[in-house]
Amino acid sequence: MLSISIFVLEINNIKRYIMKKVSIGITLVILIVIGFFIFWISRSDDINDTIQTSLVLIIVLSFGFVVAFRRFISVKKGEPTEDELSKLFLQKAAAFSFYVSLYLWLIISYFSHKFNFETEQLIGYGIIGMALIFVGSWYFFRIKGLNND
Amino acid sequence: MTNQIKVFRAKFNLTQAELAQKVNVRRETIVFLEKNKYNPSLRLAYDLSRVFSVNIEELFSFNKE
Repeated sequence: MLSISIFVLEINNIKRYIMKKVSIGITLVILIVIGFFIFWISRSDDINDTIQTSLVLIIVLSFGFVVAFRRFISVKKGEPTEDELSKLFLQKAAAFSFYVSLYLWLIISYFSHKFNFETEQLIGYGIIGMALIFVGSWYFFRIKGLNND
Repeated sequence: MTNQIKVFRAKFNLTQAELAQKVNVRRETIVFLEKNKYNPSLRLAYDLSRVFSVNIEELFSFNKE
């Protein structure tokens, strides 16, 4: 009985340790990203540049926050942070968004002749588009499910 | 592909979280399985059938249409 109690306590300690590590990791990533963002803004005079960077940052941070929060909750509940379905969602979303992004870049290169955008701006819009497509496809597969009959 | 996970889970009086813990997946995976929105890997199907002590064929059925 005593050994079982010690075992349970040990597992709880491991859980707390993992949660602590995850929290420190998330905080570090957020601080680094915000630091880079402030550095970027202080150097840039172009408002378009700042908007683009902010958009990319918001998308990436929001997605990262959702994933990190889900993992944090999983650790708290004692569930695995990743399993075959969550890995498959990410793989499918990555593959699908890559495929759709090819068309996005085609559209961007077509319209680049019509409008006067700078190359850096175009790349920025492309990256925002890719990030949005990835997040969108991830949610799409989560709603639709992965029934590969 | 359809499955009887919900039926067997009720029979064994297990919650989704308990079943998920037994086969080492997230509860969400069990939710997707029960809604027939996900076909599990052979490994997971085997683990599930072991939990309910039945053959895989009793738990999962393939409808040719």
